Amino acid sequence: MNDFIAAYAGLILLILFGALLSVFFATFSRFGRKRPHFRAIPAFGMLRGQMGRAIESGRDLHVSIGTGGISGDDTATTLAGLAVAEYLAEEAAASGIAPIVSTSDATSAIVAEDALRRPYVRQGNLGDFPRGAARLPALGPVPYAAATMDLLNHDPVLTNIMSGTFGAEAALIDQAANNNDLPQLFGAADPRALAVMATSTDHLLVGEEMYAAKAYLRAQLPHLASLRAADVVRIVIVILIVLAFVAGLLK
Amino acid sequence: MRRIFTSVAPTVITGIAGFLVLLSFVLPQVEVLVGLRAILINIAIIVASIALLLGFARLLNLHWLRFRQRRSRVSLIALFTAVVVFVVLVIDRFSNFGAAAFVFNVLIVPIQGSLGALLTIFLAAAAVRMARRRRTWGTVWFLVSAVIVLITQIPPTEGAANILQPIRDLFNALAMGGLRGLLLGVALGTLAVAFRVLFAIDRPQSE
Repeated sequence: MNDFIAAYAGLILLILFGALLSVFFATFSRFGRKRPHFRAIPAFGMLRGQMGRAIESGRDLHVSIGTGGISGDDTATTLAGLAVAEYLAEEAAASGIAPIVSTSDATSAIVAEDALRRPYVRQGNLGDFPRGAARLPALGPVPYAAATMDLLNHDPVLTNIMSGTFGAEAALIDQAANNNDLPQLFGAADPRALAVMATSTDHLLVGEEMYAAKAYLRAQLPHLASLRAADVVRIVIVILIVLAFVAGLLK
Repeated sequence: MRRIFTSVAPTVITGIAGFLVLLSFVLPQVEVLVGLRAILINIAIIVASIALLLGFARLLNLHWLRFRQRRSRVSLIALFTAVVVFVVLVIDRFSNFGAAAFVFNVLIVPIQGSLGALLTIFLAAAAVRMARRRRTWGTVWFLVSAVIVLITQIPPTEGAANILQPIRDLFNALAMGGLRGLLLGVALGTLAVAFRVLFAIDRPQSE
């Protein structure tokens, strides 16, 4: 029995998640007017209107999607970070100004450029798209941190937003942002990076909160359903852990 | 017609490739799937290599633009160094005179080491900044645990180690619980993103 669970735990989880997502999607679609409620995450509130403030002040928004690529373990984290950049690009598309998105991975840079371009395509003003908005200032986490420090020190940046794959090198970027008194939003899955950034900003997206960006910022039904499904699966796993613990004690 | 290439085809290709790779992990006994996975991974490696080359050109272009716009003089140094190192490594690839090891040992390792050393100072500065900015019980807890972890890492005397180790063990146990909760959330978040990409709810690769 244990061997079976060990071998197929991933598949069972996937099927459970898929089934729950379908159920919640059907439920939310049926009661479309009554959207589900999720706990408030203040960091997402900070994002709203940022692009407008950047346009008014004539300064840039820097969005870092981290050092992860889209062909390895960090794919999901990078895509979650990209959701924030895409949301800001959507806000900016009408004005012809895009946030500066930076990364240290070549594959992520291509996807980021495409994500920034997409809102311009949707709104029919591709001609206004500032090419090269997705930047690749260095290849590798520590050189990237150094290059981002240089960017924050020399470019007119209004807010520093970091959401993606980061390690302890985030402290270098954080120092530059603090030297320039920049407000910051930070989201990561790595506890080292989170520990570092917890000292500097109150706008933190801790682990799972980062993956909920699309659901919170766009509130589309499939994303809301997937968030609710993840919540339920989490509760199921917690109950199983508690039961296993109790069973271990009773043995 | 354009939509087929920019939207439909990338979504279908991603979906099929994703399912095949997923199935190959779930059913490792089916050799055809494992073989297909190897082919798909090789294709992904080739695409990633091309992306790396494009990325390098993009990196040079960015630093050239920043230098021309007088945003940063450091960009000129970065540009110059990148070109020199690239040329040296390409020559080394064919003549094999050990330049790659030299570049890594003499340039990259010391510079990254220096930045690593700087990191410890920045971390200390961040801790002080936190104590000044946010005077809460959470901050006290954070700083006390950081100090105890630091002292127990390199204990000044054996007596101090004996006294502080049980406290360190308590902090370790608490941190481990928090860490597991965090990792559980990350795993579920990853699962949700993967599921959405696989079923084309999210399409980061297409319009």
